[in-house]
Amino acid sequence: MNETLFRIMKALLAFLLVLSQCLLLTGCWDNKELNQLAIIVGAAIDKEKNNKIKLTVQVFLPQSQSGGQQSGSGKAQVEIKSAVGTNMADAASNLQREYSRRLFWGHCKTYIFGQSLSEIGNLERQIDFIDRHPEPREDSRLYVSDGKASDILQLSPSLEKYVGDVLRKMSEMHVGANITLKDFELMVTSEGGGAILPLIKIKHQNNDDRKMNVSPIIGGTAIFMRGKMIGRINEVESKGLLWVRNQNELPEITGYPKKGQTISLYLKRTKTKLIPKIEKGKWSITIYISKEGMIVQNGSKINIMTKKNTKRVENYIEKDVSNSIEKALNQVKDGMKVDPFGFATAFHRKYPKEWEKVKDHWEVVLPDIYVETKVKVHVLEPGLSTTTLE
Amino acid sequence: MHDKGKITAYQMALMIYPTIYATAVLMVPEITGQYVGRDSWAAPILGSLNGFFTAYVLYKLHKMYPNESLIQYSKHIIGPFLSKILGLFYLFFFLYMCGFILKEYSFFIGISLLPKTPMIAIIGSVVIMASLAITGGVEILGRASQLFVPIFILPIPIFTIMLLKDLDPKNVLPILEHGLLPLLQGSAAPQAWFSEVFLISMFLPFLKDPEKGLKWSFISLFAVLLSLVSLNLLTTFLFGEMTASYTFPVFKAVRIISLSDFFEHLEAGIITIWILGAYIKITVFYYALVLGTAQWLNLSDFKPIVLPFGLLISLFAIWEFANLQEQFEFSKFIFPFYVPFMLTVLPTILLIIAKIRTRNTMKKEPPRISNY
Repeated sequence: MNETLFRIMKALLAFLLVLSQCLLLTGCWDNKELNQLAIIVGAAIDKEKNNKIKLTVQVFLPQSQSGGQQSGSGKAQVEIKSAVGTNMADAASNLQREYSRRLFWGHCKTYIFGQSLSEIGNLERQIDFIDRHPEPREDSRLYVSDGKASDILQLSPSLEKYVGDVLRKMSEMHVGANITLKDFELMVTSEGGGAILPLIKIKHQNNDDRKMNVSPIIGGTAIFMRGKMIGRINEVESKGLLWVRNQNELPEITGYPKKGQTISLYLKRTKTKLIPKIEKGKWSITIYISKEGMIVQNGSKINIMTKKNTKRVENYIEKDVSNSIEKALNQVKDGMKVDPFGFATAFHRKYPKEWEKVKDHWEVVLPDIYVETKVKVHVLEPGLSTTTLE
Repeated sequence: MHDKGKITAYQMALMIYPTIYATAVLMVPEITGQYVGRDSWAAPILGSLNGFFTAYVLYKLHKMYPNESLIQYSKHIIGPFLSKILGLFYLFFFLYMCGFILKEYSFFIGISLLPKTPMIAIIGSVVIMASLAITGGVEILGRASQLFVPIFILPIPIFTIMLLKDLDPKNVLPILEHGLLPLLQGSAAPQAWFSEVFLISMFLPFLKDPEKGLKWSFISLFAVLLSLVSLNLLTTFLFGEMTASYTFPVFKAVRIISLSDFFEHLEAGIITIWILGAYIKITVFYYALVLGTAQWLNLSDFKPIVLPFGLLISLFAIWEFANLQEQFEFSKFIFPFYVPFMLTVLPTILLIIAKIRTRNTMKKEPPRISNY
């Protein structure tokens, strides 16, 4: 009897010991309650005087969510504050002085860099914070603003709760370049060192209501060489650039058969291949792009239901595609002498020995490389109409 | 015999798998990446050769002295005095390794989950759990790994599938751009981890089916090889040359998983699963230390020294490295020589001496078969 009692006691004691480990599950020293955190949902970094930066953050206000009635657009759900510091970590700790709760970066998925900060170079020194600090995420998206970055955060968009959400959703829809922190790092450290970030502009809808319903738009692309922004291109050229990078932009492309006539295709599939070639010391690269889609508008006199005319339609669209690519190549490859297209990587992969010789003066070699674009558009369906009303 | 438990060869294989893999998964991708860049997937293949060799040597030794561990049978090979010194070396090595693993464990947990928690709390909690298992003996270890290791293997295929859309297989090209030398340098670290298969020598005497010991050790090594190659491929597909610039590339890879906007921030779950494997690794080394000490001192029971050694290995863990950089440097430059020397070279020398000795005795007394 005594024996069994002893064994029961022993089992109970062991059980309690195991149970006591549960106390550790709360993470004693590291417990974070929601009401101890100031959750950052968007950050903007601008250049300041004396080599300093200004960090502007949007902090989510949890109070405005409570209370039964829909507050709608009346009350802002985010608060914007900024602080100056020598780098991001320093500015963030200065900012902390203004908050009763600990700033939490885990939900900040949008980082906007001011144009002037990007242009002085060494952007990677600021990005290092996002990369190294355990809280910010690798899939955060980076942007460059046209003008001051903090102005973008001031906007109060109508559909989403805060600007960061607008930008992130746009990027996910492939409006403009969709670049995460990891993508940017890979581009900056790649062979060519050319990188891109989407460029944000502000568009005022109408004049009488300046602050409200003003939304940021992604208008073009900022071109980087390593950590330095050296130029920008507009929407048409960005489209071309992104196609070469095997990324999608918005799915509609329009071709122009004759002046005043249009025909639009909704792309379903698109694929890019870069084939580099070195022949007798001459470097060239061929861009093969194939696209498949459905006609969504026929604003021309072409009867698209015949096989022969479908070919013609395809040709018009192909012309439009190669046009934007040509423009992008002109601007970026020849003008800025940067390679965000991935040409250097393609050469390195196929010709590692030849690459070894040119890798230190790639920017000299780059403009001389002959680029051939071969676009193949395939129209799959005519849409739901066969003829036009004309 | 200090421990009356019996395990199967399959359970031993399950113990060896996390013993090699649990910490290799943290450090090996970064270290190999530094030397071989995008060819890091090939480094474990070269490195595993040492693992297979070590397992073979120890199995041969075990065949000659079936019921004893290396600490015990060394006295038949090199005499009682030298064997005591060798045993002391091994015990100190186990003590050091326990500290090494615990430190690595606490650094990783500290960076990823619990930055403010004092190291002693992280180390202490796992040491208490490990000492509980060890007091139960080898059977408990076998059962625990049978329970935990299948869960521990699971994350690799799962997060490969989840990352599928981010992977770019072209990142591995061009293959072996700078020749074979970087690959050899890069495989130095994995081969050190693979030599930890030495721990089978502590478990082979407990096997119910000792004839399957070598087979299951090889299967276990092969599983580790497969896991490391696939993980290195995964990080290269994902990060390309950037892999070496992250402290824990696999952890970074897990953080990138984001499926349809709500299935993300998975790292806490992955770490929880990883802790199961790390726990087995700590327990296996801790057990080797405690059992080895009991055998070395000819104690009748090893249980009374479990907790005191727990305190000692916690202290070692705190003393060993001042920061993670130091540990990485150690793992890069000293670990690849120190560990294989203890775990591969010394047993090989023992095996050669033992072979020569048995041959000599056979010559002297032809009819008698050695009954060591």
